[in-house]
Amino acid sequence: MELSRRDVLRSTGRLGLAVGVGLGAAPALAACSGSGTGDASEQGRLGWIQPKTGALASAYKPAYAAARLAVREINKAGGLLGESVTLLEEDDEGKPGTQPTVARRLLRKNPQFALGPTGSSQAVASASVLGRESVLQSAWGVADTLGEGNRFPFHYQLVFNTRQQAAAVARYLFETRGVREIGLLVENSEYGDSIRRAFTAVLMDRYRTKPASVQVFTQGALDMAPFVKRLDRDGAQGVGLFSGQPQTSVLTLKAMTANDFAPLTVSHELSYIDAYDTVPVELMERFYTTTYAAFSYPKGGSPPKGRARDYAIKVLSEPTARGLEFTAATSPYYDFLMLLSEVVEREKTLAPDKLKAAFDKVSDYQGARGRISFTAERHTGIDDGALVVASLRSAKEKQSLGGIFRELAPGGPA
Amino acid sequence: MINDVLVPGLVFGSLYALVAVGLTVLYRPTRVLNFAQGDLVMLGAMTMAALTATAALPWPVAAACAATAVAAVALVEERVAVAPVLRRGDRGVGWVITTLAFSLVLNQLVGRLWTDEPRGIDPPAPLSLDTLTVAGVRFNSYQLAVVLVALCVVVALEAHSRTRTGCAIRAAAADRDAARLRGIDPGRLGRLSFLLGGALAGLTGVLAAPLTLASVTMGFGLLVKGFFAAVIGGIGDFRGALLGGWTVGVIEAAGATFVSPGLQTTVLFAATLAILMIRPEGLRGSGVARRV
Repeated sequence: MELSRRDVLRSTGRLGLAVGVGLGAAPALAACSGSGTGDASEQGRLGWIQPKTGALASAYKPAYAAARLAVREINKAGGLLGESVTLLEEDDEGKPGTQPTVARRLLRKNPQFALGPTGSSQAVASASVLGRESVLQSAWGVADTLGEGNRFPFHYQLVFNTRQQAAAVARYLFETRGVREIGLLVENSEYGDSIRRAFTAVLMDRYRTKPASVQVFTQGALDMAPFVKRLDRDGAQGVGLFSGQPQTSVLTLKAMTANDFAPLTVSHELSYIDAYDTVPVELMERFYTTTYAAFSYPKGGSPPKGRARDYAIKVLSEPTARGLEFTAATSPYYDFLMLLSEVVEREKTLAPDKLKAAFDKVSDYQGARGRISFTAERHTGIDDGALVVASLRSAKEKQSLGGIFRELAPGGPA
Repeated sequence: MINDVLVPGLVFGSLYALVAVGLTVLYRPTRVLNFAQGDLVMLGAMTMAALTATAALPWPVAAACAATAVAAVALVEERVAVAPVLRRGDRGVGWVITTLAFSLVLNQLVGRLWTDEPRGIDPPAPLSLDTLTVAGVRFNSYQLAVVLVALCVVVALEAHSRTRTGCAIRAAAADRDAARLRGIDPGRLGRLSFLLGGALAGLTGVLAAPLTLASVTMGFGLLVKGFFAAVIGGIGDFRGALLGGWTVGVIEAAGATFVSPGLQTTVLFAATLAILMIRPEGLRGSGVARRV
């Protein structure tokens, strides 16, 4: 076979083009493969979904105080695989409707993991999008569906969920205090819907009864008196009050006062203690809240020394936690980031797929708020026994450390 | 019936009526429905809460300061969000977007200033929230005062509408260009109406706070009910706004009592629809024939 000079030049040119294209495409292909590869030389990119604007921007800021604390601690200890964590902050305005857009905006920055958003409706909307792109996420949503590993395989719930909360409240009212007629007052949201279903199921499955009354109010209700009157008329002796909106809880107590109705009430976590100053003491003595066992102490006692107390003291020194220290301390984000850091260092990878496999095997990790375990199916990490009912009034005591620690409700676990 | 429907219906209805009256004050000379009115009400309540808590001002002084501050904000709204739109022609509806945008700006502002902590405000002495029972009717002195204030505001505005300025407002409402030919300055009337409407919104927030608590999220609910009241009463009519407010309040309370508290808004929607099918122009509105 004869090769002319022209043929040699043509072949060499083709080879050069092929090599050139190959070399040029390699980084592009690596980039296209996205967060799933995450090799050890890569920097940890943490998506951070927080309301920075909107009417609730200031209210949500303390929810992220412990996360900032964790990022500082992780970076001070050498970061993730020797590199500082890069924060990819996105503003979601605190609205469920913005979540798909925010998640897609975040995905363009190629994060391996994400924290936030805050709120069950927001979390469900966000986890649906980020999960499809294999971003390891922990949002602050208590709807029990967020802990279903089959539905949200990349989302890990590091807060107690509605099923656990319903069980703790029902157990306290029914078993500990002997209340048989229990009413429910819930908001019409993802959280309200989830807790209503969970509470009704617990009463039926465990105590063979059903709620004496179920009242659903619209978020932003200006007058809670009709709901309170209906609970009274339906004979409720105990009430589970589940609202994510602080003003509805205070308005409910005001309506109870005005209508001389003082049932034993257990409420969702309550942060603004001063807002209850005008509520009569007799009613406040029958008003309780759910919280983490780690943040409780026995009647007449004080918070025990240990991990939770040390963590609370650190949170108190965080400037962005000021005014809402309880919210800041109970946030899931500190434990999520510290656990993430531990798993990354152990597995020596930032690849979400490998991290997910490792998260699914986490067992008895000692977090600041209690022990955390996951399986592939169960992504609610908090142990069922980690939730207790506590006094709200005790949050004003000095030993409560800015309202973070609360005295156990009468008859609660010692 | 009286304690569960009439008392709460009239009290909350009076608050809705005040929101509707504020909307009417702005609407008459400008034909603009202010979508930021709810946020102005919220701003009044939050300013009042801040003044009484931090500056420890006496109630009347704090209330006057809150109303003045909100009036100033409303004037800014008129200058930046309404007047430029009206200058382009009084038949346009660009103000829908611009007043909504102003509402968003206010939301951003309060989101930076305050958290969602509900703030209680005590009624001014000698009024109180302690329950009184007279002939079996349970109410408190503050609730009575709220109803009376709403009534007095409407009486005062009705009297004002018979003055020279009131006539000028009616003339500008009927035809801005024709009013201009008669020497009336619709722009000045617009500014005046936003000042007055803003002050009314501030006062509404101040009055609402002891009953509903001052909160950054309170504005939207009041705005919606205020719109209901204005539409049911007949847009542009002060007495209609009061009647509409009371009607909305009573329907809402009746829905909560006789149907379900959770369905009171549904009942209100259904009743409003029924009222408007019978009287499309509202309870006090009159049909207007327009030659085209």
